[in-house]
Amino acid sequence: MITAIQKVLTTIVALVFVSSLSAASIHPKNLAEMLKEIRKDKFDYVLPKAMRDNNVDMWIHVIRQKKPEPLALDLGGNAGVFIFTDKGGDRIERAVLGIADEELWSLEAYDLFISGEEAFEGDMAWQDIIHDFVAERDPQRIALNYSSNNAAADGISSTDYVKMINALGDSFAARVVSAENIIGDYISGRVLGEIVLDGYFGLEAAAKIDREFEKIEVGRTTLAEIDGNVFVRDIDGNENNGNDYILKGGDLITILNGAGEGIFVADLGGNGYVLRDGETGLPEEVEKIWQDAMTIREICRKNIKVGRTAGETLNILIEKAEDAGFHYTNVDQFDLNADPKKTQVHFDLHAQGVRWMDAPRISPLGADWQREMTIPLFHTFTFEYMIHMPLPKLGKGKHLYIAFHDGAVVTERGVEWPYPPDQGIRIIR
Amino acid sequence: MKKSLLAVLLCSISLVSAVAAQESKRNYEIMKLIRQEKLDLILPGAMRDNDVDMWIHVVESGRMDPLALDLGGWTEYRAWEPASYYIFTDRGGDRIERIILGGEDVDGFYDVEGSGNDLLSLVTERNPKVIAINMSKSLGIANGLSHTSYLRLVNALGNKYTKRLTSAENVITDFRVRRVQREITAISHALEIQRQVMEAALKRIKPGISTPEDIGWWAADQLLAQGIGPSYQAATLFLPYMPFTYMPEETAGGVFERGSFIMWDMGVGYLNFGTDIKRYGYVLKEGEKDIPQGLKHAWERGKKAREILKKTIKVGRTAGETHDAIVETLEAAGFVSTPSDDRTSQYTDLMIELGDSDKSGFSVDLHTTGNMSVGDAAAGAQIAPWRSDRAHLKIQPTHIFAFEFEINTWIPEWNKRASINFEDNAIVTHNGVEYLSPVNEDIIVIR
Repeated sequence: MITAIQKVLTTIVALVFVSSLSAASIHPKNLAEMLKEIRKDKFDYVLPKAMRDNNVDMWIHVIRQKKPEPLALDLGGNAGVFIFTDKGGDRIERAVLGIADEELWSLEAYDLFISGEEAFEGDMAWQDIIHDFVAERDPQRIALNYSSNNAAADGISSTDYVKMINALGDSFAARVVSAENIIGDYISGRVLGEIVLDGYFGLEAAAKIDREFEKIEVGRTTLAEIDGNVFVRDIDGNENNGNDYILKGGDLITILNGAGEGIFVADLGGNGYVLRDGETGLPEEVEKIWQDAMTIREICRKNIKVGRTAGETLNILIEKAEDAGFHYTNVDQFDLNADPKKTQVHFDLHAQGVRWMDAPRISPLGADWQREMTIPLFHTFTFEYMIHMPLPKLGKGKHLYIAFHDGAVVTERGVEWPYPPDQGIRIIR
Repeated sequence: MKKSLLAVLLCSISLVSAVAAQESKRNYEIMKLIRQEKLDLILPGAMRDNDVDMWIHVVESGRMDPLALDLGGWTEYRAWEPASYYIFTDRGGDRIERIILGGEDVDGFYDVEGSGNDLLSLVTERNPKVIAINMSKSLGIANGLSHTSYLRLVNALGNKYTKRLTSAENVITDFRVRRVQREITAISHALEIQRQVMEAALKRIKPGISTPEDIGWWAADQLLAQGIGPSYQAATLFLPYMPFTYMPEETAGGVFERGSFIMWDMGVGYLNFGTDIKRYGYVLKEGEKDIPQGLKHAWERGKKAREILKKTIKVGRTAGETHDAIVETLEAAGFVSTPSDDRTSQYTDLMIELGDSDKSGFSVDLHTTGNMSVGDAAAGAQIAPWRSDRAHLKIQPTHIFAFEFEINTWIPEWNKRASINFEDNAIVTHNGVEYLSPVNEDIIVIR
């Protein structure tokens, strides 16, 4: 019998992949097995640290039936009250209270299932049993999935929140805090199985980008006909994006794409140059913008390290880029007031894996809490930055633009690539 | 870049189809990336941790060196330059200087290209105190230097520098066993495809009709269609690894009969990587609805042991210390140590001694893998009763190994004690043991 989660996975994966067994596909059953291992490893390895680093000895995560929940795939079910208790030792006790998804039993990830009695259809019946469950464990700090700044940690409905506070009673209700930090650390903490998926989907993304570049016929193909986030900026910074613009000689085109949406997103970007009549290779200025971009890539690789916050890292990257002669701009637009001799760079090195969180984020964009997060070991991120290179001979403000959207992992050695980054500007004839 | 990438991706999701385009290009880019990352990130530590300030790796065209794919470059035979030299020198800073003599730097990884005739002058200029070369008494992948090339080398270096030569086996071991992320994902890619193919192949068995060859060749074709061949240095390179009836009685030929417990041990090769895993199937007898209870119990004992083993293997301990900890922990959990010495009947004898006891015996062989299946079994920390030559080596972060162990348990239905060899490939990180692909949870039931 196909369980609900298998149905969801089947739907997602069937949309993304063909079903035949090939290097470019993951059968839904196999993907479900991979996710099962990943979930167990994350419970074993990431969860204890996420709870202990945040001084929480119980994490209660309420997922109401029929209500979309960001952590459903992480926890393995679309309904239930998931309770994680730190009772010491090397693991966290994992329990599910209330009427929960059937497939949770088959995941081999939970120690306890306590259903209670269903009072009426749709009532998950946890409110009658949770007080005793909590009292038996007597936690000092109880994290609950509400948050005023992180939507991923704000899944509990208002009615469930009230029900929870009432069920816990005054003594335990006073110990309730937001689970936003635990959830942030849990989602951004990585096990190797996730990096394996990252590498896999990265190759999928590379194949997509290759295919889209191969499709281009100069003078005929419009940006709208190319799959992905596809754009060309003119030398004044005006952008054509996914519209009816037809590529012409001298254009620098960027195609961004990804794979693994909803599972483990791997991003990638590619840049191409359309030769003008008579040109046989990249002109000097295009060669130079690539070299400038590679200088920035190396600056980032050498300076993104485990243990710093994303905000601290951003400041270091800005300083190093400026030391290397670049001008930093905190928006993705050419700064008309900057030194016209300096190439400009903008950073948005956001987390990779689940797009709806994007944290830690080494970027001026996004919320402060995303910059306040510490970069963990095996942090996976989208190596996204943009280069605006002035063309002073053509007049004030004229410039070239390219963007990067590679995938990367931070290890104890620095930044590594789970799949090849953009290999160079492609020549489009 | 105004448009939301998410919106675009969601809109385009249904347009995706099978991708085979530019597979060769991608493989080339993957290998190039790995080479670059290992030279940038792994090589400095591998040399410095072993107090080596120059590593000379000598290769000859026409005789493939075990590290050919690791080091890259182009070394075509030329009568006037029969050997090529990769020279890595620690000159301080965050990288190692890279020189290729007698070959060409096709990927742009090397700082200097030149002729083999320049060897002495380059070495003299750098004046290294310790020069590691690719010769080793115990490690095949570090022993690619031929006798004639050795003579040519020492003749070129002269007495002064010849005295400074030492084996590069430790440098090469660390260079290999310390993994960059792209290596880990590449190995996992091969593992996952192999797992899927093996499990699909076992499900194709038709009782009384299918032979080991039918299944083995079918699987080999499926793998080949996905760019995956047998593992380099496989014992049976020109044959597929065949599943065979393992119990109640071991038989290699014939057809798979009802009641057979089938074992399949296979290694595959992909780019510069190799794997080594096992999968099992059981062919139900007429009237049977499930696997015999005794076999099921034996299997669960193995899974229980695996959970304990998983928690016992950690970064920083030596292989020998880890083996001691494993024996202690498993025995505390009620298992009995029945160590194999891999050369005599010791394991079987100890197993027989246990007889119909309800205790399960065990022996482990947690050997390194990753590049050449069992071919690189001697590189890195080896956790096995008989692998004493590598017992002193520490388990390092990103250590990839064959999670292989034998569990023997009395099976009443067969009136015998049977040994089941579990094997998956895993990695040790700062977390402990992590799986690179789903491990063998169940015996595949063949009806």
